[in-house]
Amino acid sequence: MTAPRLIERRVRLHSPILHVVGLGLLFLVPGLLVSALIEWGSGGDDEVALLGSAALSGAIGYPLWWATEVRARVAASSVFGAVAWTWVASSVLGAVSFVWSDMFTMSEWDLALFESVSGFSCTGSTVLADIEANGRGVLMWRQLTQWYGGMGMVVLALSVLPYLGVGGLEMMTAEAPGDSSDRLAPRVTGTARRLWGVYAGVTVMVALALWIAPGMNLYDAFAHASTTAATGGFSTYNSSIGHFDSLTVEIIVIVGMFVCGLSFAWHYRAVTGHPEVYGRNGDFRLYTLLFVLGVTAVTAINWDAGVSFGTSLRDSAFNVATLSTSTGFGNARASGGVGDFVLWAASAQLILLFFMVIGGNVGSTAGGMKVFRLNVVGRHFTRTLRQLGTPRGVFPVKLGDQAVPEDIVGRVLAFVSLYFLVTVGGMLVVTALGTDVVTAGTGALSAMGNMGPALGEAGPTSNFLVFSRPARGVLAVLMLVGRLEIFAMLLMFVAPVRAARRRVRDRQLVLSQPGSS
Amino acid sequence: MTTRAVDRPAPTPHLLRRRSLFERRVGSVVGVSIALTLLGLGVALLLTALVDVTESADNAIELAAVGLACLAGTSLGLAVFQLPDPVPASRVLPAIVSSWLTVFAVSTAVYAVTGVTDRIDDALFESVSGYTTTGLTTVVPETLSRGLLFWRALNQWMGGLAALMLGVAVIPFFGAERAHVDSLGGAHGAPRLAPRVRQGFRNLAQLYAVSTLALFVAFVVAGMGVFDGISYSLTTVSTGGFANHSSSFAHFDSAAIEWVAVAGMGIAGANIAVLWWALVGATRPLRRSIELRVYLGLMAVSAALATAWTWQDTGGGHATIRHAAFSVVSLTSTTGHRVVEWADWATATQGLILVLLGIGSMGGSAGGGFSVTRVLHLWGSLRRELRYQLHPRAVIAVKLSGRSVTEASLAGAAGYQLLYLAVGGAGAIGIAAFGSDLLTSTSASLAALATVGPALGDLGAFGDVSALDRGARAVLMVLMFAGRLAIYPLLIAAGALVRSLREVAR
Repeated sequence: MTAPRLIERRVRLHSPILHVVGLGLLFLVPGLLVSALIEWGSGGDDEVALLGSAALSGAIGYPLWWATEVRARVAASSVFGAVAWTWVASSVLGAVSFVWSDMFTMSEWDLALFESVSGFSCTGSTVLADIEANGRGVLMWRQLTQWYGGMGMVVLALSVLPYLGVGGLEMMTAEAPGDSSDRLAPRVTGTARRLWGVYAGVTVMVALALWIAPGMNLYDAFAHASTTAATGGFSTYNSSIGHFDSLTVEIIVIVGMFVCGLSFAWHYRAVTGHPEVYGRNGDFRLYTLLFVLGVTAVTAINWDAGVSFGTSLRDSAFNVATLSTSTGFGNARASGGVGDFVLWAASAQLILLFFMVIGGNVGSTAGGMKVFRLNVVGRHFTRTLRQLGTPRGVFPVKLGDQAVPEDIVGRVLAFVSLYFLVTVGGMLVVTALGTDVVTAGTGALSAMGNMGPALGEAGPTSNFLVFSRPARGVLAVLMLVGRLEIFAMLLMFVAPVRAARRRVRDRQLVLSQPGSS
Repeated sequence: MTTRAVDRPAPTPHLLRRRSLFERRVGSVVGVSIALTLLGLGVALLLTALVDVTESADNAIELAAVGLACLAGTSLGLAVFQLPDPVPASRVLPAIVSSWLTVFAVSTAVYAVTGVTDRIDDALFESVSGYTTTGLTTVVPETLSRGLLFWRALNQWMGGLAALMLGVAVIPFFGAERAHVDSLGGAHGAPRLAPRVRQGFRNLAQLYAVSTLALFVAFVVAGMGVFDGISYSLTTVSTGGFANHSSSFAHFDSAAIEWVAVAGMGIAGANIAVLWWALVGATRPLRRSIELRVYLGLMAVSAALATAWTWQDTGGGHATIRHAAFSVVSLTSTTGHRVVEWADWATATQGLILVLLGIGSMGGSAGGGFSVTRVLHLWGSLRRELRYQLHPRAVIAVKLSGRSVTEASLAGAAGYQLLYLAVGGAGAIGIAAFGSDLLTSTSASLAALATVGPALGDLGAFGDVSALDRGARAVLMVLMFAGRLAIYPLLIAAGALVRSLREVAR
């Protein structure tokens, strides 16, 4: 991360937040340029807007990045601030580009911001009533916001958050392939270099598979592959994957989502010659087991409700996959089937809610509470019960053959509590703003876990326009809170406030010593 | 999670060890506790028969017969079983669980013998709902004789007392539930009830009886009849929720009675140690208890919100405030008395109701639920977690009411939250499997686990639980029982059962 030496010995401001925000905005430029190219090639009329957004992004990002630097020692508050503000800044830029390219009008700026937050947080809840009314380049850019979000998430989950010890993620330090340096910056660059290759590789593979499958052209394939890899769930069609009405496409997407709900660190290990990494991992086994159990149970419930076995299996597998990986594609088809899970029996919906809470694995692009934490919590319970039987015994919580330190168990428990607290708080506010309790509660859960669709009125064939404007604001905040593992958003103001205070104090010092200036 | 004082022998009353009809009695904690439970039930049933005689004496003979059978069971049990010395700690919770099961069985027998319900599972539901102080009912109270109405109310009163004793004296020794323990052991500004367990029991029973009496007087002064006064004070002080009328408190249509009930329910859901010290003149615990302030504040804020949200639809005025306050206090204290159908309120209130169902009353009260105490523990550890995030190497103690809380206690609260959610979620899936909608099954599961009773959706304040499928009602029974015993004892007892079955098999 060294800046080109345009001016020797220039004085750079030490600000990790501005530096990372600048870098983040610079990263968006190629995506916007590609989208502009597609828009121009497909005969759309918004390529200028996309080009302009690219220019804007570069014009803001480059100076920020150039004028600042990150020194060796970075306070935790600055790292949290950098992460949170990068996501906020990207979302704002995304909103600007959406308005500029006429996806939303100027007065609908809040919708644009919601859509953009939903994109960069890989959530996939949409407030576009008619997606297909937009140009192909603009829609590609909308898909790419999720792809960028996923890209950020992979690095965040495997190098930044473990470094900060968020919610017990320090257990993941051994997982991240990269520099084992104590310093953050080399670790981040190391992880990014290795994992982004895997991420891009998975995207291309899914895209090729979808392209070969009947029904999708290259554009559709890439558009949906990028949101599959990001477990985002945006689609370029109103009826999402259901638009293609193709079993092959659905199977490819199910496999893609499942793979992207696994840690990209495992994929990296597997690619570099250690495919046994999956089988050895307790999280992988639990995730797979839950997935299989969930599909079985939901299939049985739908089958029992009178749907044919094949359709029931197809739609159950798709929706369990889409919710357990927090993707949020819909497969409600014009030709029938039971893709819209809002119409399912309540017991099947509750099982889906369970998957919405748990989400995918740490190190994947999926959201939710994470399988890792479920694993720790479950083992904590079995330990507690054994302890009750044998009060003097010492039973460590073990993941594989590794004992989890007690303080980490405590922090995992605290994180999960916090997760529920924030969700319930969100539900309370959203219901207070006039949404019925089922839609509000599942909406909050969906936003917090970066799923996309919810139950009640905000199902997979509906959109988030059913929420009132302030309620959408609350949900957008929840999306970012959930995406960044809660703490970054809660602590995003700490570093800026501290820096401002320090600056004031320094000035006072200078003023009080007249001879020194 | 650490434990301590697990092997401490329970005090063995001499009476139970000396007089022996048989030469050698079998040492069994479970047997003796069942026998003693039957003693209590027998006396209660004879009393109920007496009450029945005061009106029509429809069921007096059946009641007395079951009561005498209970007493016969007691003498047989005490003749066969004795307390082993020392009492093995591992047998105490199985004994408690089996004495609860005995109570359910006897009460079921009473309902079956008197023909209150056609089916045995309805009778069981009624007794489980009664003893766990939940208050869902499958019968129409107006059709019952005076004796049976009294019996239902008395069930709840006994259940409330048993739950209090369980929380104060027994669960603390098992270490599973530190959050609960600390609330009773003085971490929240309230010293223990008494240094010794037996004296603690006595103080507690006295306070419970005195509150019942006071509430009875208040109800009668506010205009209730004597019999209604007795029944409603029994079901209010125990946070039970059974009523002598299908329309519960709406039957009286009296502001004075409703406000008395609000006060009674609020007090019933408060920590009994704090109340005890306040009553004997030490107001310091009362003033220092942050838990009490949060409990009262929660009810006040919720009542204000509910009032504001229902103001328009219900015409405003005193009645709106009163009904909102009544419903909120009824839900928070986990009583389940009803005066208005809260399921029909504006959608905004439903989230609030769900949250109140999820929080419940103060720890160390007759009320159930997750408890304000544990919520405060969680809140403390969350605030600490935020500070840890910025200062990873800091050593930070969580304090409540000016005293620091142990790590085990914090982990206990967090663990209990997840266990509670897991059981509640599983219960919701179970109820939904029998055809209830999402809101009904989720809220009913939460309400049963918190021993509130009425919930939202089809099972609102005046919802009819007999309209649910029998399977769903069976799930509700399990939830009520688990919630009443704070889940862990049930798991331990199940574990002990499995172990002894294995031993038998060997």
